[in-house]
Amino acid sequence: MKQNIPGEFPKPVYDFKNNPLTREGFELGRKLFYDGRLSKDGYTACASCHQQFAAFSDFQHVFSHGVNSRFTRRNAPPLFNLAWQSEFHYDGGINHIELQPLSPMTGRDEMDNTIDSILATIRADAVYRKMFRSTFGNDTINTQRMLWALAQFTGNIVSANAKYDKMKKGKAVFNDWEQQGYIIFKERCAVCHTEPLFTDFKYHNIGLAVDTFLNDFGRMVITNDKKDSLLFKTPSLRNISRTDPYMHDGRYWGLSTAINHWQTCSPSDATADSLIVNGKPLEKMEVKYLVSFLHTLLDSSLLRDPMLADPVPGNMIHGPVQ
Amino acid sequence: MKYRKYIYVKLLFLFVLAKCDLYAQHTSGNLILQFENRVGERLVNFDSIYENSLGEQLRITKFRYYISNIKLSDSTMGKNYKCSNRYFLVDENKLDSKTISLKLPPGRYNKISFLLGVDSLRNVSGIQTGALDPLNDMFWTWKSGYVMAKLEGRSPSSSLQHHLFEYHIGGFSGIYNVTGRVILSLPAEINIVHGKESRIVISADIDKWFSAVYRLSISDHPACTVTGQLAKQFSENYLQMFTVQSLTP
Repeated sequence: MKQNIPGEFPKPVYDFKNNPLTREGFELGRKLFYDGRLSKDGYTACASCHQQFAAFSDFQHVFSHGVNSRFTRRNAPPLFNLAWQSEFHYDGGINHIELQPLSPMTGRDEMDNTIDSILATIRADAVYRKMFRSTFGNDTINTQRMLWALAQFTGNIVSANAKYDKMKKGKAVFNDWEQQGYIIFKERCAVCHTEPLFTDFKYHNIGLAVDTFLNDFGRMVITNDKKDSLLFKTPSLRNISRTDPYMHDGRYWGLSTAINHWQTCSPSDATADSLIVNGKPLEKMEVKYLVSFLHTLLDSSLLRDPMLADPVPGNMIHGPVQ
Repeated sequence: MKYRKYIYVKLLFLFVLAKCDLYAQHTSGNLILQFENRVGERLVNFDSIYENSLGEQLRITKFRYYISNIKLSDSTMGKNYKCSNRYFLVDENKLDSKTISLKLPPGRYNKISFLLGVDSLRNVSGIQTGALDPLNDMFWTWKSGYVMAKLEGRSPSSSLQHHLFEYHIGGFSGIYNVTGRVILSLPAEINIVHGKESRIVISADIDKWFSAVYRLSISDHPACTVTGQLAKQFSENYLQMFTVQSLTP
């Protein structure tokens, strides 16, 4: 199996060099991704909060529900083009795609499990044993192999087939509003939401006042550096029309509300980005054009790709582990 | 024809000899590193109560640390020999983890050094296995990186729930990098020869965590579970905890 690298994309950060990509490995990762038994209550899979039809975000949820209906503290990000990402989480705390699943798997508000018990569940399942054997050549089932397989799946969720991409290839034409929006986008947004991945992978304070209940200071939690207070990673704008609500804490519903933030925000913090502090307001029509453009970033083939879907419909809900 | 056969046999014989010689050069002796964890003079026992040099009583429930990049330097040339690319997790709760078996080329050695912790490369290279498996509960899942050393227990001096104290010391980059090289001079030379086993018993004194360089009392600091200045200070303290207890040269 070959890694899917769209022509216009830069070289991926994760190239499967140490984790050779195979159809078997990908399928194993896919099964793991959709398996609720990996959680403490048996119901919460990766896919519970990363739903394909929502570009692998949690559709219409501000926060996600983990085990025992506990709420997460941040809005579940969509998952695609992860092989181009060197840091994960809004605060960049995770430094490698292979390590990322450890966080939700063991997170109290998410799958709330232990690696020990996850491996025990997998080892007890004859289908998994067979899949590990055909992927790795022998019967060993350990953390490394489980996470390698997951990375084979998550690293191959690639989104590069939106109307925008087709337009770039000359296979589609933007209408007036979309074209106007694209021009505004390039002028006002592209500095951080850099094409073609629509993110600079950097951390910015866009003047979102801290939620006093969550007290989430973003990047600073990881670096312990005051300069990083309220900095969050730039999200990609691909598929953005499907990942409502917006921002790290899901505080804004609707694209125009999110865009309006840029003209109503008062930089609440000394570390607010100068792009925000010095930004000039958008006209009402400009917002509408931008929204039209953002809709061209929806990749409906990603949302429907059968290769990325639940391998066994209904597999996701297994019920409590006996 | 017969002559040719003879040549072949002779060549084969020479080849075998050469091969033997090759092995002879690589013949190695065994070195056993044995870690003995203590508080002051007393060996660690999870049931016992100890007192640190700040006068605080404590009981130990967990004590683990990573050892890697072990090197020995030979007495004559002062040359460093890297013994192993492996990572070892010494865990007070696992008897066999406290003994590390190494192979060394023959020679005389007078100094041993090792990294306390996991070097930065292994912290940024994705999922690892063996001693570095996150299963060993020495890996942060919310902020990628290894806990290099972990000490947990209870003390009446701790103000936390159940009088717990917890030190999970990590950080692999920048000014708060807590990994450090421990260099120990051996009280006598060890002579590694083929087929012989030498042994170095290294003692790790937990008391040093609280006072070796910085005064870090349990009452002031009952917990340290994030990277930063406090973690760095704890590491500077515990890097002083090792001494060579005994030697079987």
